[in-house]
Amino acid sequence: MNENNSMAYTPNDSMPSDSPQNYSVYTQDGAAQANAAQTDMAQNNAAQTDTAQNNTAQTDLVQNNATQTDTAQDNAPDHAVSLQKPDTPDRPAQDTYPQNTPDHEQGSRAQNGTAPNDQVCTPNGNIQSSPGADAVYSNLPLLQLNDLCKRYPGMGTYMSVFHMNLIIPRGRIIGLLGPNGCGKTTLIKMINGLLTPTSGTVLINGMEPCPATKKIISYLPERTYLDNSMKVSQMVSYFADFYEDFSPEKAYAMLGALGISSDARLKTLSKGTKEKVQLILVMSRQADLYILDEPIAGVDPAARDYILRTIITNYNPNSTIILSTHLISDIENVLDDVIFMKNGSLMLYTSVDSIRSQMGKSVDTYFREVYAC
Amino acid sequence: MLGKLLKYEWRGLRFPFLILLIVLASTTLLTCGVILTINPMYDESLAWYSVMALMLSIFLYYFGIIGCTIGTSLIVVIRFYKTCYTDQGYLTHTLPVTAGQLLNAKLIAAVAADILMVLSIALSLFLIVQVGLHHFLSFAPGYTYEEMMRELSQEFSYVFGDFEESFGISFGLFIVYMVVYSVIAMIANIVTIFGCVSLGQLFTKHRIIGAIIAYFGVQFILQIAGYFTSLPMYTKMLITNYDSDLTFFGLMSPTLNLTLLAVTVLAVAMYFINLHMMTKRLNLE
Repeated sequence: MNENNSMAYTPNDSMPSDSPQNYSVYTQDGAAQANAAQTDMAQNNAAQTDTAQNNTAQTDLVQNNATQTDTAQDNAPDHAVSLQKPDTPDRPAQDTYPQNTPDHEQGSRAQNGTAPNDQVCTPNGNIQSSPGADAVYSNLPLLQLNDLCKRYPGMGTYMSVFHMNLIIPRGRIIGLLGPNGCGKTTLIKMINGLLTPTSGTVLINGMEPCPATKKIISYLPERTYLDNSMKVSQMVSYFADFYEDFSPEKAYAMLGALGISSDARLKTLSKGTKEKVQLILVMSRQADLYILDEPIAGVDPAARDYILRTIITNYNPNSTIILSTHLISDIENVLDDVIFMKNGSLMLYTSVDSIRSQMGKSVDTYFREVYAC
Repeated sequence: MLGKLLKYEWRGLRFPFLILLIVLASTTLLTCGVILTINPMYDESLAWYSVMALMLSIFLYYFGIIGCTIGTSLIVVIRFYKTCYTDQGYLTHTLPVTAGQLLNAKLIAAVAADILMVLSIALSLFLIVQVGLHHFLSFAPGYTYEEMMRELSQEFSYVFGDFEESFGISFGLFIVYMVVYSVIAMIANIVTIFGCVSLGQLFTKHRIIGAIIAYFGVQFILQIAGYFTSLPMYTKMLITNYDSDLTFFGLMSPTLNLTLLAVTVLAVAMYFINLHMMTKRLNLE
């Protein structure tokens, strides 16, 4: 559990009323600032000021225009409507989440021992954001980042990931969003144990990255990681050999649906087709946590719909999917929550419905405003 | 999991290894072909050609086996680098296996490839000798292969009868000692190269060059260690009379043992450096 003096985040179903006051923003030039200090922090940090101002503006917008929700729905792309993710019995609908009562929730968590530090910040206090899943699994969060930092050698004092605290529950589809170079891939690589954090910890089911955590994470990197000399069928066997939760039948069915020959050697396939093969292999697992780094970036728009359908179809209600992408409009209808990152810091972790209902914007529109150059 | 890792490790190595075996087989056949053209009977018109052919066959074979030996090390190291520290590393390091299992699988496969190559070279050498012997015997009517082998075995038994007296160790024990020495040195060499590849990852850029620098650094340390391990031999040579009872093995064994110890210590250190790099210092680009 979080035993340091930093702040951890869980999804916030009423983000706009908190923005920017009720969630913390971490800066590259100092320690984490609490909510009350946001104004000062924003004045001192140009990088974060824009965001804070944008968020304040958004809050006003919501207060002044309650009808923006419809507009936000309209802003979502039409072609993505068919990709709406259905709510499942195991996964509570967004509006069933408790309202934002940070003080109360902090107190209750401190009492039940799940959050030993009273500075743990959860804007909606929803640490048990997947109660159904918690009945099955332990109280441990699926993924927890504690004061996570990453500084690459040769980059001076700049941190690619800066004091990041986050709690990811089970049963969510989460978009990890942010501009190029904001630290998304670095964060993902640290979760998968491919990068060693400079400081802080990554806990998956309470464990640091190890073979046990790799058993429950299905990871799709942003690059081609398959052995080009192998055939597609050999890669299927490879995954079947190493991952107990891998279903070859499912993989072959998806390969067939996309018209990819299992006898083809990977080196003969195009980059896009290789990416499809990778995604098929990754989604043919029954993992607890799927981490997909730019899964649709290299494929044509027609295939994107199939891929997103694949993600939703293979989605296990007790699993969580973290999706990193720039193509927000394509995926926002499948997302439950979004994480916005900027300059290696966590800017925002909230639900998509909150953005739509309270900000009156689609995630894509909101993203463009927040990250406007 | 180790078995599965070994299976895929060997699958990855077998194709380039097969190419090396084909190269070795071709070199062997070519060398045999050249040997068969040599006329051991003195013939003024052919003498020049025979000498040239003999030299060519020796060079051809020498470079053939050197190439195959280096080639085996290269394919093993390239695969290690490729699967651990390039894009494929993203798959390798997200497999639900420990770094120890990964390293052991690669090490076992590499040692197996090296041993297979040594055995293949031995077989090839045997073939060449057989072809040469049969060819030269064909020019000596009345002198059969069996007769020659009988004479050779008598010569060997005569030499090896005195082996213990001359070398200070029985022939059988010496062979066992050398085999154990070679296997340990082989493993140490592979672990050291793997370790240097991993150490190269400490460099922000030009990681392959970093690995080469690390290898030269390790070799430099080994050379220094080699100097100190040679001290017992030089000391004995200086303080004893060469005509005394000191045998060859008696003179060499302290140095050999110390070298073996140094190599083993280095191999163990590099093994743990490798594990450390693959767990605590992994930073895939």
